This record gives sequence, structure tokens and C-alpha cells, in this order.
Amino acid sequence: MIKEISPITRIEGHLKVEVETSQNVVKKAKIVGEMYRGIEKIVENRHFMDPIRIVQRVCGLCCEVHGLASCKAIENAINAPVEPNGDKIRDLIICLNIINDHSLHFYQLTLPDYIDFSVLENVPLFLKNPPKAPDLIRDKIVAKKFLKKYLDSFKLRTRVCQGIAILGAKTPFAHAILVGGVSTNIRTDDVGFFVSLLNDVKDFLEEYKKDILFLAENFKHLFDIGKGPGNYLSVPHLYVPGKVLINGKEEEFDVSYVTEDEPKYGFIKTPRYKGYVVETGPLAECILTKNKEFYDLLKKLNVPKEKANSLMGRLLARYVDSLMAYRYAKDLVDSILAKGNNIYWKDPKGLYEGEGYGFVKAPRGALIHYIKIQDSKVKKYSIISPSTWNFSAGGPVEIALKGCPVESEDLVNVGRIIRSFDPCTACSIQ
Amino acid sequence: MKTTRRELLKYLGSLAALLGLPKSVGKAYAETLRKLKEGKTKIIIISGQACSGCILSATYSDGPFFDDLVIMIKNILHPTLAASQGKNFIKELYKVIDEGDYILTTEGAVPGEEKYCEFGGKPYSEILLDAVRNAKFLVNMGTCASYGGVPAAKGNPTKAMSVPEFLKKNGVNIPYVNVPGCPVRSDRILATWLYIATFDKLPPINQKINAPKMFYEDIIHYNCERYQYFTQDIYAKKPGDKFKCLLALGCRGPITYGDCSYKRWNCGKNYCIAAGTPCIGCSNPKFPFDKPIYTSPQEVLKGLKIQ
Ligand code: SF4
Ligand code: SF4
Repeated sequence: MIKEISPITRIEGHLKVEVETSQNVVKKAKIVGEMYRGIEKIVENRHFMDPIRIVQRVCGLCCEVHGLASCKAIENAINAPVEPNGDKIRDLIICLNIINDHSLHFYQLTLPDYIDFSVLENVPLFLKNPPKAPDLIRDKIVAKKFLKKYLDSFKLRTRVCQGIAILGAKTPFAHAILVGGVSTNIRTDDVGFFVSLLNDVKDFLEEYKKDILFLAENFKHLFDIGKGPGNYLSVPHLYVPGKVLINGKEEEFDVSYVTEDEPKYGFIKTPRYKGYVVETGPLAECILTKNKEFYDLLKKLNVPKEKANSLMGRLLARYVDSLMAYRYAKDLVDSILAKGNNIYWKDPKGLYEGEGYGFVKAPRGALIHYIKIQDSKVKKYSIISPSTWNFSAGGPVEIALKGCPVESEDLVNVGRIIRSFDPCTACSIQ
Repeated sequence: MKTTRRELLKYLGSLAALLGLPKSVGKAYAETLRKLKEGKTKIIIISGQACSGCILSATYSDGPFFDDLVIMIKNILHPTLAASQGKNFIKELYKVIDEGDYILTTEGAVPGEEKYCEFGGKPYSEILLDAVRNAKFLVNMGTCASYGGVPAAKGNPTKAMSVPEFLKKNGVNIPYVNVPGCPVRSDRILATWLYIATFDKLPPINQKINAPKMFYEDIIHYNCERYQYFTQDIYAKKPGDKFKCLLALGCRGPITYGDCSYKRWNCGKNYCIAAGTPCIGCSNPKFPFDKPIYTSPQEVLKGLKIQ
């Protein structure tokens, strides 16, 4: 029997899934991306610096990572040095972007899959029709508590975004991120803002930890579903190394093994590493770095290591990733200098040629930008975003959906598994 | 950070003053918020070729405005926030559409060919036409919905167009307003909704770009803190240079309507020119322009003559 969820809500963009079920279990799944803009094509033949701003518009959620990946690809192509303080400022922007993104994913995009807010009176219009799952928490006290957190997390994000604006001019789409560093001058009182902001983030993470553990305790059966391919990939940036794990064998990441095919259906391309399907994202990174924090949480929950590769494992890893980003941000704030001149500028009017890659650890995992410059113009531009890896035809998500129990017409667990990858369709298709 | 009712009234009063309305209008706003609280005025947001930047940006709001936001978003139906999924979401959406009397807000451009944007088994264009039919007002949120933006940039592989252009093509007439910006800024969209909900009409617009005067009356250049250096012909050679005008780096402030230079972004924390990076004209109907972003003051100056 073929069933579908169309549209998949509480994700970025337009996505649908078709599943073939038999005896109430998913046998086969097909993920289809349904929106295309052709941004790689749009930047072709434009001035080589234009992609920074245009490609940044691929996604409004993880916009800052695309801006930076684009800069890095250009810097790599034309051999442009980066001002060290400016480099740190750019990384701090990304850390804040990661925290921002994960909090959105957990409180707004994930929670309604687990807690029925419609038991409360006067809930927002969009929370009135929860998915019909037998295991949804319907306790009023719990729902009330979490609705408050749901709304309060908006406040935290506004603050985090103010931080990004101080460093990067504004957000979404920080225009101060440029080839060679950032244009921003950092003042002493700005550093003060970050000390206080990171204190708030720390408090928030403590709550986040409690909440994710609460969810994991109550939905332990979700450590049993959503098993991905077991091959993982990460690119070198921030607190993450460039690593690949294929069939249990670990190796250094080497971009020359990355291949990219045109979409088989829908608009999502199919990237592979040495021909293998690989998963990317916080879970991949926790496993590749043997993250202690992550495995301690599993132990605390009494969940065997092998079950890390699961729906709930992914949600847990996303919390751990926020914690890593926070710690890295804290070190950055300690070492960023309050000063002007945070950029080594390359005169855009010069003549440039070359090709290069930019790697960024994005909230959803490995992001790769490629640019080829000829006569100071973009000859070719290519983006492989984390969601391209995960959502490609025959890719990690389709694998993770196999064996998913289908309890109701609403395909709740299918939706949950898909959301555990935090799909960003705009990113995966551009 | 709980706001008291008095604070909120005071704030709404100053908001009214800001919009060029008598202070007493603050009371009318409070009344609107009460109505919104009861779920009376609904806002549907649908998205086409978009990046979700606008809806997210709309939530980056603070101060008393944050409470407005919470009240306002309670009335919003948007696929990124909706608990329901699949057919149930579409059912929910069409239920609100059938009830009518809502403010329709669009995000993103409309592709020239249906296959480039589908949603819930229908082309986006069909959903848009269905939703427009029963809408009281249309608000185009962000530059893509307003003017085409990045998807409709030179080359335009999907023949993308703005929502007004698409509606004109289909012979549909509806009172609308654009609230451009890539993305839209939170207060711009929230205040536009609040205005419409209170006065049951569109805010006064700058007809050149069909956007509310309260945010887009003047060009960015005239209120720019670097304007004095422009008048003295002192130009920056690289981003980040202090006390210099950014025109030679491609600044589109002189051809772009907006209030960025005095309201700034992210609750007033910063914005492009203050951060030493030129305005790239992200709320301009021509954004992202054909000419290079960082090298073309000529084009900017050419635009200046039109003013
Ligand atoms: S050109 Fe740009 S930087 Fe210069 S005064 Fe005008 S808006 Fe300001
Ligand atoms: S200053 Fe220009 S580029 Fe920056 S946000 Fe305003 S309109 Fe957009």
C-alpha cells in the first residue's frame, strides 16, 4: 500500500514522502523535494564576489553558514588570506547560528510531534491539530509547561540574533561576512554583550538538557526506529574534524571522493562518498568524534551505544551539538579582540582566476561550496548541503524510514524520523 | 521580562506616534490585540519559492513587541509552525480559507512553471489563487514575494515572478501591500498586520514601490550616518573603513527605500552600513541587480538621478 505525507510540515520548505507499507511497516520510502529556484545557475557568469550575498539566500535558517562557505570557497580559489580576528568573528557567528537553529528545531519543529498542545485552552491556531499518535503526551500540566518554553525560546533566539547582528550587521543574512574577514568593528562593550548573552545561553541549555532527557525517557521506543546507513561524514571546521566512517572504517575526509549525480526524482541531487551513502549532521559528528557528553547521556538513559543510530539518538545529538557550539563560542569570546580592521580586502576590480572549496560545519552537518572563477566571473558554482546528503534519492533518510511502524493514517513516526534529520529543503535543492 | 498592560499601552502609543497617528490610537491597537487574542483576525502565510528567512525574521522581535508577537503568531497558520501534517494540514488550511476574512500573507516568488513549486499535491500557484479568493487583504512579505527577488534574478531558470505580477497575469484584483526586504524585518511585518487589523484598511503607501510609507518613505542614503562623508566626497576603499561613505564599494543606499539607517536591524542592534559594509539594496525592486554587488557605483549614481 502506498501512503504519503504531503506536505511535510514543521520543516524548512517543500517536501513530501511516499511510503510503501505492508503489515503496518514501511518497506520502501521515497523523498521528493518540491521546490526549485536554480540559485547555482543564477550566480553563473556573475561577478565572483556576488555569490557571497546571493548564495547566502539559499536558506533563511542556516543563512550564515552559506555566506561563510561561499567566502571560504572564493578565498580558496583566489588565494586570499583571512584576517585572524575576523576569522574568529565569523566562527562566532556560526556558533550562534547553530544554537539558534537547534533551539528552533527542538522547541518549535519537534515538540508538537510528542506533546499534544491542543489539550490546553487558547492555544495558537497552528497547534490546534496535532498529529494523531497513540503515544502523544496529553497531560495538561506538561503541555502547559512546554508551551511556555515553546514561546520563551523565541525570546532567546531574538537575543542570539542580536548577537549575530552585532558581529555581522544583521540576521538573517549577515552582510558583514566578506571575503577576507568581516567589515565590523568590535567595541569593548560588544564583548560585554556576548559575556551576558552566553550566560543566558548557558541557562537555556540547562533547560534544553532537561527537556530532551524528559522526551528521551518518555519515548524510549524511539531509540529503536530511524536507523540510518551507519556511514558518517563531517567536514573540518570549528570543533569538528574532517572525517568519514564507512563500513566501520574511519578515514580522513578527502573532497576528491565526493561525487554528485543529478536527481533521480524531485529536485534533490544525490551526493555520495566513494560511492557510499553517508549521513551527516550532529549524530554523525558525535559518533565520529566519540563525543563523551553524548555517550554519557546515553548511559544515563540506560540506552546501549548501538542505539545511538536512531531517531531519538539524533535529537539527543542535536542538543549535544548546541552545547559544543556554546563551549566553542565561549572560547572565541575570550580570545576575540575588540578592534577595527577585521578584514584583508581583495579589490574586486582585479582580475582573478581559480577554483576552490569552502567547508563549513553547519547546524545540519557537512556543507560544501565549490566555485570556479574565470575572468573574475563565476564559471561554475556548486553546493552540497547537509540536507542534500541526507535527503537524496536512496539516501540516509530513505534508509532510516525502512521498518518504521505505521500505527495511524497520519504516519506520525514517519514524520518524526524525517524531522529527526531536520530537513532543510531550500538548502538541499537551492 | 513580563510586560505590564500600562507599559504595553505606552508602547503602543509611541508606536502610533511613530506611524504618524494620534497617540490615542494606542488604545485602538490595544483593542485590536484583544481581538487578536480571541482569535478573531486570522493571518494565513503561504510560501512559494522562499527560503523561510522572512517568517523567521518576523519572530526575531523583542520588548513589548514580543508580547504582540506572541499574540499575533497565535493567529497565524504557516506550514513551518503547524502541528498538523500532510492532508490534515491542507484540510486545516482550506478550512480557514473557506471561513474567509483573513489577511493573506505570501512569502517567496511564484514560478512560471508549476512543477518548480508544489505543496500538498498542488502547484503553489493554485493554492495562492485559492487563498487570494477569500482574503480580505494581501500582504507580500519580503522582496521575493514583492518583486521577484533572488529567484527572479537575471537568468531566472524557473521564470519566477512576484506575487503581484502573477496575480495581474491571472486577472485577479485584490488590495495589497508589499513589505520588502531580504528578509523582511520583524517590526515592519508585525506593524503592517497590526495596522490592517486595527483600521481594516491598508496603511498609506509609497506608490513607487507599493510599500508602507511608515517604513519605506525615504531612501536609505538621506538618513545615513555616513551621508556627511558622501557630501564631502570621502569614500571608503575597503569594507570596515570608518568615517567614510561606502558608495565606491557599491552601496545601494542611494537607490533603495527603507528605514534601515535609523531603525536599524535586530531590535536596533546594527545594520549593514553601520557595520561598515555597503547596503546591497535588499529591499529594492531590482534586487539582486544585474551588475556586480561590490564594484558598481556608476549604476548606483545612475539610479540617483531618477529620484
Ligand atoms: S552611499 Fe551609502 S554609505 Fe554613502 S551616504 Fe549613501 S547610503 Fe550612506
Ligand atoms: S541597509 Fe540595504 S542591504 Fe542592508 S538591510 Fe537595509 S536595504 Fe537591505
